[in-house]
Amino acid sequence: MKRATALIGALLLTPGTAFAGPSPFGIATPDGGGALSWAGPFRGFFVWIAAEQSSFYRELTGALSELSQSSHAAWFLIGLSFAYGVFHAVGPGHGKAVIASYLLATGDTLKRGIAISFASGFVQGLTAIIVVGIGTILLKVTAVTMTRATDALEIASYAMIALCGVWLLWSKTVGRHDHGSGTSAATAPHVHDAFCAIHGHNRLGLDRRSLGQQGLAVTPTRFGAAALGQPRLAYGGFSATAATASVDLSCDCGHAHIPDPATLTSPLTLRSGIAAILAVGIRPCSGAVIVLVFALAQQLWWAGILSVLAMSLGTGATVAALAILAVKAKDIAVRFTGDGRSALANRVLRGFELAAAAGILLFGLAMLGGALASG
Amino acid sequence: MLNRRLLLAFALLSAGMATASAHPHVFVDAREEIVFDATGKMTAIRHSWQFDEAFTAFAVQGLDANGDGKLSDDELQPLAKVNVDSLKEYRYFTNLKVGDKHVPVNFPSEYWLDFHGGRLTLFYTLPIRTPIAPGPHATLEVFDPEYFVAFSFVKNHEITLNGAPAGCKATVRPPHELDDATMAQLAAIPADQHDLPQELADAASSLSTLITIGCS
Repeated sequence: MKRATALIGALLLTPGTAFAGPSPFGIATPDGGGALSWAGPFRGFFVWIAAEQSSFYRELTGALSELSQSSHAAWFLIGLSFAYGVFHAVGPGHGKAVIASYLLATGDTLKRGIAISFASGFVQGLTAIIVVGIGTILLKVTAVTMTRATDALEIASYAMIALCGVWLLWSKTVGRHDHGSGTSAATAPHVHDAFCAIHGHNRLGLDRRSLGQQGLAVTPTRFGAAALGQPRLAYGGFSATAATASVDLSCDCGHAHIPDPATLTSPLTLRSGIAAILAVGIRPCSGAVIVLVFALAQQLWWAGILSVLAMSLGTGATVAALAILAVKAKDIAVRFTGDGRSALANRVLRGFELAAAAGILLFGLAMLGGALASG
Repeated sequence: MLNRRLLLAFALLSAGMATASAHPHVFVDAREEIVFDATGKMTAIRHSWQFDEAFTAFAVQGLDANGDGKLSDDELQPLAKVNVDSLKEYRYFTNLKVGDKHVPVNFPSEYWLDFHGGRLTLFYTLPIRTPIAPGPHATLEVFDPEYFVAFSFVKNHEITLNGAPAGCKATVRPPHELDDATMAQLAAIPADQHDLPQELADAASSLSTLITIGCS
């Protein structure tokens, strides 16, 4: 939390980290996807979704502006926000594809899948609240600066998604027989933390806050080194420490390659899925940011926060629905190929996992490329 | 093969989800004006785009630099510049055609923002690169095909022809609203049906307002 706050604060303060995003008015970037869908076979469906969202969003902002006159409007607002979240998440972004593919690739249980889906929605809402809170109350930045910060977070999100894909592919292919051969098991209980590389840093005794101030520019390199499973991290002045510390810096993207005691005793712990959750949730959606600023402008910060949290719940519900669908589809496919132990079943399962991991990588790269190219 | 079908179904589902459409976060009430010269040629398009309250609140965040509670022209002008600079890449969401030919425009010759009653309005003028007479059939569309910006037009002020010769007339065809019946029909279409019935496809494709200008 502190680390996220420091990172976002640094983003908002540093004009140098600006990545100009594609945005018609230069402020508030559209959430991924875009024109593609309008030519596709599902065009009619998405036109309908867009129309529904549009009306919920308008009612939502309308309810916000009337809130100061009527306290009953609060529940109405929360209901609308939830409904908006449900419809909103059917659109692009929100990592539905990423979360679903992640669940396929890791073979996580349905229960965990649902928890991860809701957590990703919640983190996304939280990011919006942090960005707007720091941006408007503490730093009083303009919409242009806030948009740059969210654009940078978006790029970080895509980079993390791509790296998740790289790691999953790695662990499913080359790295799958290396389990337990590293030094990490011997040196420390392998705790699966959020940002793999950052967690590496933390083990090296680096102050969390200073990471934020170093900004995003160094993040890809750190992840780059970490994701390839290099056992040591040569980074700036810390390389000497890293060399002696001998820790496993691999970004496991939440896939527990060594059973973590914490995971075993408490199967619902989100820790091992945190990398995926953060990769998706670190990017706030424009709708939440706009609604929050609008609420703040009317001194209705509590209503804004409640609204965004309700939106997150709605988003989580949609993502969870897709996650359930994905996991069920895999289960059925595997069940039809044998009792779960046959060679064919294993091949099908592995096929699913590899395809899902490759999908995450390609999605991350495509979105990253698109975001950087338009910058 | 059941597996293959399942895989295919899942792949289709993922593809559909991954390319889902954008959604509107900016609502614009637009007024349009076309400026004519003495010879009856169109020389410029003037946009007046009023933003919704929520987007306005976001846009003006932190702009009151001197903290006097008001937004002066000096405080708004940098944002107006950002707006028109960014709009260039979107071709200003403006598509003027004479006959079937697209009419190119230049970078805005003037632009400013006005903040009034909690809403921001962007005014800007797009000079037409080579002034051209509308002839019997010219069309103006202001539309975001990605639907991040939802344009609607101020009733009875959709279009003004400024200095047009007598005999020129503008008409407005409103977008085909998606009525509840159409929406229900769209929702009922199974995901594996790829061809929309023609009338549904038409209903979904004509969501923009079309302004027609004709001179006799």
